[in-house]
Amino acid sequence: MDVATVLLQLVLSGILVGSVYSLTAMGFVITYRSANVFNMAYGQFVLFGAFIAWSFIGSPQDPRFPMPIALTLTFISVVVFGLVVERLLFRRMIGRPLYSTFVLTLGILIFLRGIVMLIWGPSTHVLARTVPQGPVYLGSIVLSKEYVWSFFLAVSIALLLGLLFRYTKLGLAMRASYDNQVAARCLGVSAKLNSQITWVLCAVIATIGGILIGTVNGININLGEMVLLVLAVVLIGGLDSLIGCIVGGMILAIGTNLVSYYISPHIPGIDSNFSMILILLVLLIRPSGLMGTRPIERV
Amino acid sequence: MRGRRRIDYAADIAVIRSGRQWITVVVFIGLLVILPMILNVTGNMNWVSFLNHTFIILIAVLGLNIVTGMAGQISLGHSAFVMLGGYGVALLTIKAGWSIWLALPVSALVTALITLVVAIPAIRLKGFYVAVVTLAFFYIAQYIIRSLETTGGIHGLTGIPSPAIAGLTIKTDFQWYFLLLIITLVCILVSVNITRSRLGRAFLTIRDNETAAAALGIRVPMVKLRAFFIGSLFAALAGGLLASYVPVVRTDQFTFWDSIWYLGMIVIGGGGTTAGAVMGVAFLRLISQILHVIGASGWIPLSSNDSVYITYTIYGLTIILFVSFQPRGLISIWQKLKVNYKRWPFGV
Repeated sequence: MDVATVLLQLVLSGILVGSVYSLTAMGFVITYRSANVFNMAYGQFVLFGAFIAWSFIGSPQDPRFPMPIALTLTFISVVVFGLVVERLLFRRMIGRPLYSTFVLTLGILIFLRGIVMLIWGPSTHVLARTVPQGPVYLGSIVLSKEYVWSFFLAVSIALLLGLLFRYTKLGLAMRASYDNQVAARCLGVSAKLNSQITWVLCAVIATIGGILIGTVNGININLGEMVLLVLAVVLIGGLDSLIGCIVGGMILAIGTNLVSYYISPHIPGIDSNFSMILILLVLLIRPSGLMGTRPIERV
Repeated sequence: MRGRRRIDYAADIAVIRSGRQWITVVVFIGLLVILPMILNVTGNMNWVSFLNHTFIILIAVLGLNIVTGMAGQISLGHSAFVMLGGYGVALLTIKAGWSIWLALPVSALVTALITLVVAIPAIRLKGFYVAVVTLAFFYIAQYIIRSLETTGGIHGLTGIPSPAIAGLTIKTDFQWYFLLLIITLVCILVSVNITRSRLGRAFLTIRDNETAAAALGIRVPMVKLRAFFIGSLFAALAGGLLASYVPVVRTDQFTFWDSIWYLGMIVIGGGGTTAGAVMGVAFLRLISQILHVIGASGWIPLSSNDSVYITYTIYGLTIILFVSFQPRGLISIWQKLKVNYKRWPFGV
């Protein structure tokens, strides 16, 4: 393969992988935008959702339910999970300082990690096929079919979320309560409903991300480290921007591909720490990210 | 009416403010001195080792308490500072052949200087961004130490010498206990004195309202830098002591989870006060030890993996419950008890 084909291959597969990162990161951005929670436990949400899906879908050797039923059951239980998390933990945090909610999410991170490992154990679970698998040929470039599917899924969900935030009354209410929770409540926005929808959306998107990544890599404890990638994505794109998520995911995935092909042979292991280096660079140069809004300081 | 009846400010902010407090402190220290002797007689040397580890963790948490509890800068990279301190001592003693008494302060200073480099991006930022910068620093530091030849890669460094005082080499857990007790008490005293100083008040002001602090004439970036500097001095000291006590340094001794435990200890104890940090450390360490004893005794049939996960679950639950229902931590429970006792039956 010549240089141009290799480059194109790296960039295209980066775009496809990046779309999955972007989709997963949107769940994080939603809670940050609407509930004003910096959810460090998000990686465990992804992990938990993926394991719930595995429990209903089953492994390739031992499928449990037919796919439509399994997916329905998965999403019902994840919605319930989102509601429970909201009611028990985050409802009472409305109006509390950001520091407390941050530490609360750290507590949830440890708690969920323990629970997930107690129930499902540390071994890697293989997920039965949820999307078609196999190679796709574009000239001399090879892409995997599940990533092409994930790409379209991610783009359509991103579009739906964008429409929700921009054009519906609900989206307006969510944006308003991100700006100022008290003022939004004074104007008749229901804090309760708002918070419920936010957390359900967060849990559902985390699960979709978990299923997509789990289909490719298998599901194990390392899926929880996803939060590090998600952090990189949202910080590059800007913490409160959905479009920023897409841009950030692409930059991260394409960058990781290029680094692992061109630099890793010389400096081993740098590709797995690339996201951390990116985070440091972005925060040094442009802390609000590429698309984020700069905060205004008030006393 | 009972209450504070102190005439001047110096008496009001003194470390030990009354005769009764003197008695409490002396009795408490006396108990800490006698405790290992009792354990020694009953043959429970595991508990002495547990206490030694607790002292080392307490020193690290006192540092985080200054950065996070007082100055309000959430740090998720504290175990990286501990790690750097440990590796510093290991390198200076093994490779350069220095005495440990020289290596400890030098390694702490070098670590604190490295921390300043990290803190420079962190002080430009606020809130979560600081947490993420320190988190990224933790992973990058771990990666660099793992890849370098001099630090022994993933195998780490072994054979760090034990400290010696006047010809007596500190070898056993029992001897270590008294050394660590003295160092910890000194650290607690330093930490309390920082709270009482002008710098400590500047930390608290920045935590409560940064913009207002700047308006009051506090140089916010400089004060934040000092918080990181002092905090990592404590952390590196803890790391150095750990390296010499264990006596191994490997990167997997210092995990991201440790940083979370440290934060959890501060939250559970009650952030911003030295007494709170001490209580938080004691509380979480006791829970972990109780879980460990239950797991080891075989009362409940558990695999060793399961007991680790149960520890995670219960730690997480403890942090969640404290943040939800008692955000001011153990120290506030204690203060309420005290007030209720004094004013009984007209308590709060």
